[in-house]
Amino acid sequence: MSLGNNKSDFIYSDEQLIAQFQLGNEEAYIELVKRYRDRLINFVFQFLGDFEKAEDVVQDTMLKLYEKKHYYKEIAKFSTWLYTIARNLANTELRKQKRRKTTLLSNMSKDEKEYELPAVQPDTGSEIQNEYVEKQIQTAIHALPEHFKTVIILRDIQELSYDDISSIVDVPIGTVKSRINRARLQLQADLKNLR
Amino acid sequence: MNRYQFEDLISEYIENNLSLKKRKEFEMYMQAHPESVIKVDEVRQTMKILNSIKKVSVSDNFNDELILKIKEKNNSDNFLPKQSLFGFKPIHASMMTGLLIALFFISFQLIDTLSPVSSPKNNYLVEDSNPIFQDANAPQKNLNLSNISEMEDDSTNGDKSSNSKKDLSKKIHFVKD
Repeated sequence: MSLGNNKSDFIYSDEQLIAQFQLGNEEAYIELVKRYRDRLINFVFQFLGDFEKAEDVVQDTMLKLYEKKHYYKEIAKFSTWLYTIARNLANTELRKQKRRKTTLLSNMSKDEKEYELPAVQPDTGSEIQNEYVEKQIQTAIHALPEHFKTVIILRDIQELSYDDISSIVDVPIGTVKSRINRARLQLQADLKNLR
Repeated sequence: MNRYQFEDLISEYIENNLSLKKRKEFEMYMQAHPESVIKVDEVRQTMKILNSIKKVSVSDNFNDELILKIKEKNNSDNFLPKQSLFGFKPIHASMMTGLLIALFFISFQLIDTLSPVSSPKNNYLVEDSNPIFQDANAPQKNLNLSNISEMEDDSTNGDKSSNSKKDLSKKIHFVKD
């Protein structure tokens, strides 16, 4: 069964694929994994700032898709349903990370406390410069409150529509727009030194 | 329009989502406040930076690891029914069985104790096992003189007892189902 490779010439829509998977066609599942693994890793990586953890979260998302396939009902878009799962798992992981950091800090004495310094300083080399810029952007995104961070990643990095973002985070579109605007203003202030 | 109202509309202005009236107000505010033009430009640049951020891809062994995870999950799920007995773990199942046996045993004991002693077998059992019932239902083995006289009195009242039996039989009514 050919399921199509490019986004533009997909033979089956996501909803058709999940319907086939619900009927037991595992090839449809593999196609869905192919379609969404990179999109989800970009979202979760920007959200957590840790690639390995992000990959674990994406795998868990795909595992959930496999196990809970019958929970999907066609009243929602498949993409928003999958993003919601990924977002919830990423949130759980973020909370774990915060708890771990708090425990580590509380276990260290004042003298032992380490402060993270940017790994790369601005340099003349364009590659190093780009790396530095990327690091600064990630740090700025990571510093945003969770509800700002989710929407700004989904909108400005993942380029999802306001409607989809509203479904994923389960808040009205007006709130989504307002959060995105606030997040952009905060990033604009934080990234001033890059311009 | 004040500064806060202006800031709230920046994204909508950049994305061309403002109504004509709002857009005019917004642009008038920018004309009056040159620093606001810089702000709008900076937000626009921030959006471009975010959009141009380097995209990452999953590692090469992503699918293999995923398949492994699915298999592990499936195996553990398939293994579960083998270790369970009517949905109970072996230890819980054996505890439950023990409790059920104990409950049956106790209930049979209770039934035996509470049921009226009617059959000859039961009489025999009661006579042998319970001395209290022996006194009430069976003649005593060690008889003394007073007991003999009482028995003689009883034997002289044979007619009375037969009369009372007759009277009782007259009072018995059979009820049809």
